[in-house]
This record gives sequence, C-alpha cells and structure tokens, in this order.
Amino acid sequence: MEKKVKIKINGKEFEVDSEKSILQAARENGIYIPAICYSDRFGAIGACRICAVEIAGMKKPMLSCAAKVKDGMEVTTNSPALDQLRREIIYEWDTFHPLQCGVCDKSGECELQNINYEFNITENPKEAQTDPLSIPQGTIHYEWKIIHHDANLCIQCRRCVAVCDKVVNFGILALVKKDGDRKEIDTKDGKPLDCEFCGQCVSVCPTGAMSSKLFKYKARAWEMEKVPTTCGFCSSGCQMDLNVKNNEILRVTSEEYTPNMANLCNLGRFNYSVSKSDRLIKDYSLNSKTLNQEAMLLELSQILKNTPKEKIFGISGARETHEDNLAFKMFFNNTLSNNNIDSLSSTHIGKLYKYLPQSVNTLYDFSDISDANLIICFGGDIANEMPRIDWSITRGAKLLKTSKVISAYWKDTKIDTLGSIPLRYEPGRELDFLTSFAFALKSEGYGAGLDGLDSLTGSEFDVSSIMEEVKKASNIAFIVCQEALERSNGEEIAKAVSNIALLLKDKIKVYASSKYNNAFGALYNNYGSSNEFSIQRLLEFAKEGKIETLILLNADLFSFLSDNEAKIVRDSVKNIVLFDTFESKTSLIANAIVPVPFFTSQSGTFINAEGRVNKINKAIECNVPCAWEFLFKLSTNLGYNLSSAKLQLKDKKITLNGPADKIYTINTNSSVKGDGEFVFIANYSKFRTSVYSGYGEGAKLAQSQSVLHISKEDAQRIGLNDGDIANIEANGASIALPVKIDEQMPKSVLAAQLWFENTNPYNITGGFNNLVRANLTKAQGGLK
Amino acid sequence: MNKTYVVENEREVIVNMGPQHPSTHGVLRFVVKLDGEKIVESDPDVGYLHRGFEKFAENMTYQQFMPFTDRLDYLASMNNNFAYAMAVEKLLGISSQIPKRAEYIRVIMAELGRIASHLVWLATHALDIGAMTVFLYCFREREYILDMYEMACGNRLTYNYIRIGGVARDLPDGFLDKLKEFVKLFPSKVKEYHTLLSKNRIWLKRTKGIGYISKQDAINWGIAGPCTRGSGIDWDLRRDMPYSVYPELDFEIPVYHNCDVYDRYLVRMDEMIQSNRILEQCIEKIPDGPVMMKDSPYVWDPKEDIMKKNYALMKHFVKVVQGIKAPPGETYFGAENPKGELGFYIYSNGEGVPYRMKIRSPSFINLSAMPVMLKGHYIADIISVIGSLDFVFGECDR
Amino acid sequence: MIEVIIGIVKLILLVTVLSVYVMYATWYERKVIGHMQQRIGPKRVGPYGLLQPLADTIKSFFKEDVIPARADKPLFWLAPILAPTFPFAAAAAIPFFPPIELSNGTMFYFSVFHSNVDLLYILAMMGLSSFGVMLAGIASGGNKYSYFGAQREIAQVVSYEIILALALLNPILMVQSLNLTDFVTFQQQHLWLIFYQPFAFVAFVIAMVASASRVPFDLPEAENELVAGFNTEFTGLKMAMFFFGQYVTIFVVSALAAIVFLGGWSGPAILPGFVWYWLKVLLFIFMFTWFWGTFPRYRYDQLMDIAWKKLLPLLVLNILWTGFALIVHMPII
Repeated sequence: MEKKVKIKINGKEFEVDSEKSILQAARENGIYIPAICYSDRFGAIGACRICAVEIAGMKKPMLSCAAKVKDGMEVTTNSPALDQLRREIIYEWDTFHPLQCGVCDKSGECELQNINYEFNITENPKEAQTDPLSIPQGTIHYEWKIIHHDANLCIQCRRCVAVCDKVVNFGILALVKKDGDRKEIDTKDGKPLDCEFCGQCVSVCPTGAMSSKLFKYKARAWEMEKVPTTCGFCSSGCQMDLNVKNNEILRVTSEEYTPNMANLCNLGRFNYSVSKSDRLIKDYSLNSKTLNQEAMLLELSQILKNTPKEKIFGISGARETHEDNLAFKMFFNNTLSNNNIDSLSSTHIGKLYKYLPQSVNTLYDFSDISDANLIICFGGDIANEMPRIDWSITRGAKLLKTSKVISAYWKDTKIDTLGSIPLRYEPGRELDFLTSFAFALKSEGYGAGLDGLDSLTGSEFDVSSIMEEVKKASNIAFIVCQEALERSNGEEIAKAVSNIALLLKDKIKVYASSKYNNAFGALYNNYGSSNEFSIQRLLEFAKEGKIETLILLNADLFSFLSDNEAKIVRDSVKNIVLFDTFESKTSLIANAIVPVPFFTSQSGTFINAEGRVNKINKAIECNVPCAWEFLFKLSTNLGYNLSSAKLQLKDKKITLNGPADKIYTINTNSSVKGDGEFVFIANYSKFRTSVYSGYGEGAKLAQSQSVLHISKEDAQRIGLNDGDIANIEANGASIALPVKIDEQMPKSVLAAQLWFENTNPYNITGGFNNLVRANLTKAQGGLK
Repeated sequence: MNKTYVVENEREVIVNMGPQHPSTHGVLRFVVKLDGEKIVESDPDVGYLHRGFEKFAENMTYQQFMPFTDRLDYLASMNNNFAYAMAVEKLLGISSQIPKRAEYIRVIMAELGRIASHLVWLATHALDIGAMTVFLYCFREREYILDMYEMACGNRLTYNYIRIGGVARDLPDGFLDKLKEFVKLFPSKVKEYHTLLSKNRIWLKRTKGIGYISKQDAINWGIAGPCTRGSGIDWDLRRDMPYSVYPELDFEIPVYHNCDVYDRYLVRMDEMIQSNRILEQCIEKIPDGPVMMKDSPYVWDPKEDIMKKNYALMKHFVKVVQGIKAPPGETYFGAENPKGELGFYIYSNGEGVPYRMKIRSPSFINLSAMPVMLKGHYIADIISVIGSLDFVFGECDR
Repeated sequence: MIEVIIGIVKLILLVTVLSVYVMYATWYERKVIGHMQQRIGPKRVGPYGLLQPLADTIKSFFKEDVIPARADKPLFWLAPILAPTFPFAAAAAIPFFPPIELSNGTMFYFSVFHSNVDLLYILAMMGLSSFGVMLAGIASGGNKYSYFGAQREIAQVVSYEIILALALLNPILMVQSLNLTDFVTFQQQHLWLIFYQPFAFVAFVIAMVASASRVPFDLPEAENELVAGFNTEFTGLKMAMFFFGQYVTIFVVSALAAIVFLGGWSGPAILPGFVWYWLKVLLFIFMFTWFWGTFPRYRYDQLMDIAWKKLLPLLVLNILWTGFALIVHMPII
C-alpha cells in the first residue's frame, strides 16, 4: 500500500514513503531540519514555521512538517534566505520573552533556549520594541489545578493544543483571543482547567509556559538524576524517568523514544509523591508491636510452623514485582507444599485467559492498536481504566486516521468523540452484545469447522451496524475492559469473548485491560491454577474455618471485598499476615505486617498488558528489603532453601498458556442482584488504580473522592444537585456519595468509582461483583 | 608492572621504592632487584594517583573540564590549560579566531609556566642528589612567578585561567612591569644555579654518564620534550608544529648530544633562558584588544549581555547546562609542555560533552623508558634519573 | 676517693654540657643553613628561636613510640642506647678547657678521663660508635632501607676509620705521643701541625665528615634514596638518640681536629686559650653546616673509591714521607 517516491534533499537522493512529510523523510535519513512545534506524537501543527524549507519550483519556502513528499521533489534545507527567515522568527519570540530563565523551571531543557543557541542569536533588531525587564502583561493562571500556565513565556507553538486534542482527545486547550489582538493559550470556555490532568501539555511545552505546580521551584533540570523505570500504577507499563534529587522524586518525565511515546497519565506523571507518603509502612510489626527483621522472621516462622500447612492461604495483590510474585508462589508451592494461593488478577483477566484459546491469547503491543483497521472497545470506559490504550485508539482514529472505532458499552464515553460506531446495551446485558456478535459472525461464515459452532445462539441485540466494518477490516483490535470481566457473570463474558476471538481468529488481536500493574505477571506465574481454592471462594473458605493463616501480598481486603465481608474474613481467620507498602484498612486488622518497598525503591520487573517484561529501577533508597528476600529468609527458617531459585526473567516478552480451540456454550441467564429502581455500577476512575494511589498529590488534587454519576433527569426527579450527598441502598447496605450530574449517563443508571477512601462501593454490590440494583435517596444533612 | 620477580641467588634483594618514598616525585612505585646496591632489574609501577580524568571528561562539558587540566601537571597548570584550550579550539575550528592579545597572554603564561616548572624540576633534582640550597634558591624565583600568576588570575597553583576562545580576563595593571623586572633579573639567577651545580665535581660525578638513552632509543620509546633534546634530537613542537604566536617569536632550541642526566640538565637550564627571551619579546609585541572571542557559539557571552538580553541569557543556559555543541569529529593537538608533548585527543559526536578524550601525557611516556636508562646503575642513580626525567604523577596517572 | 667523686662530677657535667650543646648545635646549624639559603631558620619559639631546641626535645619525648611487629625487640631498644653511648665515651677524653696547674703542682684536666693514650681511646670509641647504627639496621625487622643504611654505615666506618687513623698517624709520628695535651704543647712550641701536615689535615677533614655521616657523605641515612636509612623505623626519643650520637660525634671529631691540627688552645695571647680552643671547634662545626648547604651527595661506590683508591695510597706515601723526614731531621720539622 505504501508507495516509495524519490526525492532530493540537499542534492542527495533518497527513497521514502509517499505518505511521509518532508520533515519526516529528512529526519529518517539523518538530515536535520530545525522544528519547534512538530512532534511525531501529534503530527504537524504548522505554527512555528521554523521548519520551512525551499522546494525547487516554489517561490516561497514551504513548511516541511506539513508538506508531503512528491516524486522528484528537490528540497533545500539550508540557505542564507532560510536562515534569515528562521532568525526573524526567533527574533519575534525573543522580543516578547521575559528575562526569567533564572527562575524558570524549564531552564536547561528549554527548546527556546536551544534554538537560540543553535542559531547563535547575537542581536535582536526588534529588541527596541519591548523592554525585557518590564513586567509582562500576559495572564498567569494561578487558579488552575496541578498545571501552571504563564502566558508570558508562551511562544504560541500550539503544541499543548495539539497534544490535548490529538493525543489525549480531551481538547480543552485552545489559542483564544484576549483583549486587543493578543492571543493566549487558555481553556476553550475560559473556566479554570478541569480535565484529565495528565500533564501532557506540560511535557510538550517547549518553554516554561506550561509547568507542573507540584514541581515548581523544587529543583533545576540538570540537578536531578533520571532513573528510568516502569510506571507501577496500572498494567500499561509506561516507561518513564523518575527525576531524583536528594533521595526524593521531584518529577516524572518520559522520552519520546519510549513505547508510550512520552505519554503519561495523571498517575504516572504527577502521582510520584506516593513514594514519600506518610502512610508508607516502615516497620515490621506483630500485633501492633514493632519488631526488627530478625525477630519478625522468628515470630512469623513460629506462626507458620504452628499452622497446619494446608490451612495456610495466600493472596497476591498482583501489584508487586514479578520477582516478589514468583517468590510468593514458590513459597507456597515449595516451602509450604500447597497451592492455596491466588491473585487479584483472577477477578478479571484471570477469567478471560482461563478460557481464551492458545491460538488467540497472544499478547500484542499497544502500538498495534493504532495500526488496526477496526478497534472494538467492549465493556468499559477504557479512558478511565487504562489511558494508554485510550491514547493508542486516539492515535489510530484521530491522528493516523487508519482505524475505525466501535464502542460497545452502556454509556457514551470519550472514545465516542472519535466518531465511533456506538453500540449501547443496558448495564449487565453485555452477553447480549457478545452472543449476537458471535452469532452474526457465524452467520457470515467465520470460524467454519470449529467444534461446538452449532451451539452459538443469537439474541435480539442488533449488531448489523458494525458487521460491514468487521467484514471489511483485516486487522481488528478487540479490547476487553476490566469492568465487564468483573461482573458477577464475568466467566460467561470471558467465554463469549473467547468465542468471538476464535471466530475472527486470523484478524483479531485481543487486549484486556487491568488496573493491577503486574496482573499479567501473576497470570504468567500460574496464579489461580488451583482446583480448590480461588479468590472468589475466599469468603466461603474463611467461613468454613479452612483458613487459619492468611498471607496477603500487597493485597488490601477492602479493595475487593465489602467491609462486612472483610470483617468476616478477619473474624474467621486466626492470623492475617500482610506484606504491604502502605497502610490501609487491612493493615489495621492484620496481625503481622511486613513492609514491602514501593516500586520506586526496588529493582525488578513488571509484566504489562502487552506481555512485555519491563524493568523497574531503584530510584530512592529505603531500608526495607524486597518481599522476595524476606520470603527467602522465611523459607530458610521453615527448612526449605529457596535461595537457588531464579526469579529473573530472561525473556523480553511473555506468552501465556491457554486451552485448545473450543467454542464455549454461554449461559446467558444472569440476573442482577438486588431490587431497586436504579442500576448501580461500581467502576473506575482514571485517578485511582488502587486505594493507595490516592495517597499521592497528583491524584488527590485531580479527584479527591468518589462521586455518584447520575443522569440529569434522574437527578432532577430526586432533587439532587451537584455536590449533594445521596444515599444508595442495596442488599441491606448503603453508601453515601456526593452527586455529580453527568449528561452522558443513561436514565436510571448510577455509577460510582472504586478505591476512594470516602467509600467502598463493594459494600452494596458485594465482593467480586460490580453491578447491583439499588435505591437512591437524598441524604438529610451532610456527610456523616 | 606485571612481572613477578624471582630472587635467583642470595646476593639479590628486591626493594619496593614507593609508592611512599621521599623522592619518587609523587606516588611512583619502583620495583628494583638489587645485587648489593647494583640494579639488576627494575620496573616502574604507576596508577596510584589515577583519578579517571579521561572518564570524567566524558561526563562534563568542555568548559567544565578546564579545571581538571590544572590537576594534570600541577607544576605547569597554565601550560595544560593552554594545551587543552588549543585542542578544543582545534576541534571547534576556531583556532584562527582567537584574539591576538589573548594569544600573547597565553604564551606569556605558558613560558612563565615553563620556567616555573623547570625551577621546580631543578630544585627537586638537586635536592634528591643532596644539594639542598639549590632547592630554596629555585623556589625563591618560582615564588616571583606565582605572585605574577596570582595577579593575573588569583590563584597560585591551579589557575584555570585560559578559556576556550581566549583567556578569563585581561592582564591586570602592573603585570607587564613586574614581568619586565623578572625578565631582567632572571638570567643572573640562572647563573647562580650554574655556579652551584654545573661545575660542581660531585654533581658531575652523579650526573655525567648516568641514565644513558641513545637517540634511537629515545625515538623508539616516544620520549618527548627536554629529554629527547638531551639525546640529540632537535625537535620542539613550538617550532616544528607551530601553534599560537610562536612563529612570530624568535627563540632557539637547545640540543645536547651526550644522552645522559647531565645533558638533560643542561637542556632545561638553557630552555629557561630561551623562555626568558620569549617573554622579553612578548612584552614588546603584545597588542591591545579583546582577550576573548565574541559572538561565537562556543564562548560565553559577556556578563552584561547575559543580565540584560534574553537571547544571551538563554544561550548561556544552554552553554552551561548542556555544554557547547562541538561539531562531530575527532582531533588531536599536542603542545610543547615543560615535561614534553602534552596531547589531547578528543572525539566528539556532536553533543555537549566529548564522547572520548585521551590525554597523551609526557610524564607517563618518559617514565616508561626508565628501566632502559637504569641498566647497570646503582640504587642512588634511580634518584638522579627520576630527577632528570622530571615527571609529575598528576599527569602520569591522570 | 676524692678522684672518684671528681670523676663522677665531671661525668655528670659532661653529659649535661653535651646535651645542651647538642640541643643548641641543632639550633645553630638550622640558623646557619637558613641564612645560607636565604631564609631565617627557627624564630617562633623564644627570641631568635632560642627555645626551639627545647620544644623539639619535649616533642620527641611525647611522640608515639612505634615498634614494628617484626622488629627484634631487645636490639631495637639497645640500638638507640648504644648510638650515643660510644660518642659520649669518646667525648670523655676530649678536654673542654686547657688544663690548669693546681697549687699542689698537679695538673687538673678538664676532661672526664685523661691518660697518655687519649687518641687511641678516642679512635677506638669512634670505631665502636657504628655499632648502634648496625644494630638499628638489624633490629628493624627486615626493613630493607634500614638494612641498606646499616650496611652503608659499616662499610663507611670501616673505610674511614682507617683514613682517620692514618691521617692522625702523621702528627703522632711528629709529636711522638698519644696524649692530647702533648699535641698542644708541641704546637705551642712549634708551628701548628696543619702547616707541617697539610695533606693529612685534608684527609682528616674528609674522613671526619664521613665518620660523622654528614653531607656529602651522609649515605647511611640518605633520605632521597633510603627514605631515612637506618632510622627509618625509629620514632620519637629513639630517633632523637641517633641524632644525639651524631652531634656528639661531630663535636668529638671537631675538637680532635682543633687540637691535633690547629693547635688546640694555643694562639695569640690577645684572647685566653680556651676561647681560641672553642673558636676552632665552632669553626669545624660551622664547616659541617657549610658543607651541608653546598654539596650534593656522593654515591656509595664513589665514596669507597675516594677512600680506598685515593686517600689510602696517598696517606701511606705521606707517612713514608713523614718518617723519612723525621729520620733525616729535615729542617722544616
């Protein structure tokens, strides 16, 4: 499809893709053309005009970032005239740029500085126009959260506008007219910034105009050591650099050559202060008595020795490093010789990969999403679950324009603004869509010859609108969101997804989203392979008294169970041993607590949703050993030497085992728990991937509490306004949440976000379920 | 040093001279196998002062490395500054754009450095052989030079005065007068040293015929500087591969042919007189004008500009934080230092820091020829040969 | 009995006076060489730095006393004791003042010990004085520098004791006595012996510098070659003892030279005899310092060369000449 053309740049002939712009072609071949506003992340803007080149036959210089190559084109990238032109532009910028490098956070890595140096500007004919020492008149947005904007430093390259629009797909920033003919970057509506607070605009700003409030005046760019690592907040595995000074992370940056193309979300970019949270667990403690490591080892081994081996159970939070995760598994399988162990990935992706046949369960790179012809996003708001997948979709649909998007969900979401084909089902009716889709595929002749094909049945759900696209597409990315898999009928959904994957075998790439950063690592280490014990049966086992000692590795009981259930577990288990990084409700009830370093304080690997084995590197010192070291010592105390075990992975990418190809029969009979007027859904906020992610400044500032999303009509009917407190009741329990009217919410549907400290929505849905019928009342008075 | 010595008979003994020894000029470890007091085998072992300068250079901007060159041959810091600045200027292709006055100031500083370095050499050489008074006489004159250096740059040992593109600041008032005075006085002082040593029978006994290295051997071992000229090789980079303003100056290259410690001594004594001649001419010829390049992307803008003009401030930040971006390529520049040819090989890949820097240190290379010179001599001759080679460990180990 | 008491008093006086002398000899030397080298020398402690030697002494008492683990402990203690002992013993025979005739007609000698074989005794003690250094080399536990230093000292002493003795043999032949007072008496009657025996005097001066191990013959402790030679491993008071011995040696040989060649306390009557005597001694001590400030150091083989190949044959010839001259009663003698 790609055509090659021949062009001449500076007298040398090159053969390049016809789709490329001159700038891209030149850069590919190592020819340097200066450019300020251009970046591969968001394409050409054409604002800075520095990249102008001369093309034979054209009177005026052309912008190389925007002009596509043509066969036989002759380009000159450097000439006195061009140099003069570029200098004029720099003079223009310099004229209005305040003399503030000394106090500007961007100094030292500022592209305006760089371009001044590159062109060696030694005079400015326009400098008489303005006095650089005068007080600048541009707006400084002190009122914005997290992001600081100083219009005086802006050179109006519009990179922030482009990144907000074309990468993040939020589009809140624009170059707007201010008094007179002055233009400034501001929000489109002029209100204070209220966005995803991903800070992409900060990362692209060539000057110090957009900067992080959290970083302001903390350090100079060159003082910090950049420690490359992998983000530990979700399973995207974004590569980033922790900027460390004096054993403290001061900011997070990322480079354009990373797989995530320097894109980071709010959590990755601004939530680094979690690492110095005052709620870090620092000491070993047993029944709230602080011990040293040796004493703790002795006490713990005593506890474990006194417990019959088959009564020891373990749950991994799927958030620890691969090494910890594997050591934990080995500890159970070898030292304790049982398999009473499961991880939190079994609550969602574990279900999917249990059924997804080997032939389609390959883990693919996210960049393939952007290249897919058709992207089907099913079962959740991917922008909230994994922003990186959202950006890959946006890149494919909006920037490269190679992909069509289908969004199958119960609500309009951000990706619907990409011109997607919306498929709306009622919450809890996911199977309708999946089975109809599978049936439609079968009718089109896909999957001929597969076992059990006949068992596929359809439903009333209409998928005809997308069948045309599916047929056309040669390359489909199918994204399964965590929310769908966490329904109580998640296993059936997983089976249905497997059926679709198998039917579209050759052209489908299945992606699953997970908020647990090492969920795929836990799958790889064969968590959830026990026939008897699984995390869903935790409560049952506890009630039956089968569990005497429960070891939790980075797993917070209150983050996947309701408070009542967690209490039941507490009461029926004799010893709860918690390995965790942060204090949580669980740490308050655990008998023994072993601190685990945060991912910024240890070296190891995470396995992300692409199956990549990503390295994390120790950036800040802490005197707590990794969990695997502690487990090894504990194992030695128990008489089993694990120290020869190899924890490190040699592979760069993992593969998972799956069953043989098989079409599953789906049990579509599912009923939503409870009875109430409303359907209540516990879903996710993009600002939390766990309870502790709220301990950081960035996330806390962006969203401090869980809110109840409600449609306008419903709100009016009940008489709720933004900010009012509402009580939601189901299953005999109730939670109180502040209300936020969301115009995109369908009627009689409520949604609240998990993992906020103000409430635990599992209280009304129950653990391992996120959907319930509930009643809504306006609370009298404020919050209790 | 990778040999293991085996004592073959009872008469032989192995002595570790250094690294802590009063006259190994720093931290040379010299392993000698002795038969009585006669040297059977010897091997210098270096590296005790290794500070990894070449690796440091890969991690700092070109300007940042300048103070490190002070710490190479710390007896002739100015010359090191000079050589490094010239090497970087050659890499940047701005060698011809250095202001004339700056060039003259550099030559004045370099020749003063040569005299100062030779004075320390003479002082320690004589002290090692036992003549204590010469030591103090030499330091008296050196003090005068250090005073002048202090006038110019405020420092007495590590000057960091010469900059890429010029020198840090102009000569202060009265400097040239003081220099004139020195130049007038100095030859009489050299005469004094000659009186003390050149005809002294003990001195002659200790230096003549000692530490012989033939002309061919000197070339083969790559020895440079006064040591080669003591072996009859007429080679001086200032004349034969001219740099800076040396072509405009008239001076002679002393050459002696007996290849021993005494001739190396005479070469240096004569060199001091020649340096004095160069200084005389410099005082006459030094022009007025700026001492730093202007408007070059490789030098810092004047402070007034940086404080007032935003483009200058912005450029300054880049130059300081990221370093000056030298064009990609490699270069070698060798300068005639008091100890010999100090060369800098710089490989740049276009970034603000060099990709690789190699320092050819004359001390190291001269030192390596020591076992040749010591064949069949006595333990006391080690000292006179060490003195005549005049090495400094800051430079040798880098 | 009274003689024993007088002897003891003399001995105590000798030790006291020489100790003070050694302290101030260092000061004197440092001052002299300082001015030779265009500096000032000690000046901080006391007026003109006069208390400097006291400070140095006190310091050397309080220095940490380090004994190497491999050292031979008894010898390590013995060496610094022996080092000054023999020079002191030699000094016992050196007169401090001209002898005076007491009212009862006996002579009172201002030396601890007076006999008719003064010279022989002094030479014997000088020969023994290298024992301290030798023991130091052996005791230092295999330190090669100490060993080399001791080896050099012994070779040097063996060579130069001979020169010293042969050089003295000429005057002895002429005076026909080994009694130091006789030498002075002889020179009072004749000319100073330096005029009769100029070559023997030169040889004696060279040999006396060598036997005191001073520049240009300071090989046993050549700092630049052997770190500190035999006393490399010695610290504090132990090291000071070696210096003590050396300075006493310098005094002994200087006094010997003054008495034997320069006429002792003989001199024009404008000054009293003992002043002449002390002036001559100080002149020699000054000479030591002067050499120090001027000469480089000979090499070991060159030192041996001078002793055995040059001085020894020439001195033998000189003795033959002196003997011949005495036999034929040449008028000059």
